[in-house]
Amino acid sequence: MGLFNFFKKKEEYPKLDEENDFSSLDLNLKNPESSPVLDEEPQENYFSIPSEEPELHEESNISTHMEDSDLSLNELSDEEVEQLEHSVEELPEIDKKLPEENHALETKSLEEPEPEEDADDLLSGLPSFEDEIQTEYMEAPKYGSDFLRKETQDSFFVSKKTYSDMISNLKNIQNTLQSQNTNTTKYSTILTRSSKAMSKGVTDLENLQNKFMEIESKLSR
Amino acid sequence: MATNQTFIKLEEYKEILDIVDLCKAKLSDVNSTLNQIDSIRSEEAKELSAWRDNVKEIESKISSIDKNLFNPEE
Repeated sequence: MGLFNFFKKKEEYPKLDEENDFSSLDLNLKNPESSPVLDEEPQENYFSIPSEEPELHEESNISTHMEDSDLSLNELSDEEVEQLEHSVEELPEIDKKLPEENHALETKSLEEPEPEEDADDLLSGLPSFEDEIQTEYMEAPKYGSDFLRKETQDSFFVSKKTYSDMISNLKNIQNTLQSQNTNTTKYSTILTRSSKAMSKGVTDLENLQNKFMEIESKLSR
Repeated sequence: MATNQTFIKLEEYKEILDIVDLCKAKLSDVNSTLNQIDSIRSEEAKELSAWRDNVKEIESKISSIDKNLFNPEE
């Protein structure tokens, strides 16, 4: 914007109220710290460099920090750039510790390999299925009866004899119900025939009654 | 004897109990139905017995009428 245009545009601005102008000046005078002084060390106001570099433990943090530093290098002063370079030079010393620790761990793992336990050895520590069953079933007889005790709401123990008896009883009940169903069908058929015979008997009695009434009428003449 | 016993764990114990209770209720209904059928059959037997007695009485009276009609003043 040229100077001519500046004054030309300034003439077009509406005239500001004088009180507002003074109030703004008062605010600036009352709070001189809030108003940035651009002439005094502007770089310290815009860049805050930490006095000590944070300890870096992971490579990801280091790379991120370096990338962020690279992005802002052009905006840093020479002293700050030197500080950053000095801190970056210290990084390999930190990186040296990690390979040493890794080497120590690898050496330890090579010198003292963990004994590979066989599957049988691993299973030996666990109770076998039979032992588990035996444990479960050994606890049961102390309650005495065939129907022993209810472990949970969803399971209980019975002896093998009781179980076989229950299964045979269920099969017998099923066979009995099936035969009874057949007998009930037969009985229903018999009842139907009986109902028909009774209806026929009632009809015959009515006819017989009519005949007797006819005989009675003839005899009474 | 207890040392030779083998115990079997049955699953779904609660459902089995519910089914057994349902079977008991059904058996109770069946017993009630059978009792009703017995009562009806008892009444039926009584009616049939009365019917049979009436028929016998009718037969005897018809026989008497027949005797009087076909052998008058005997």
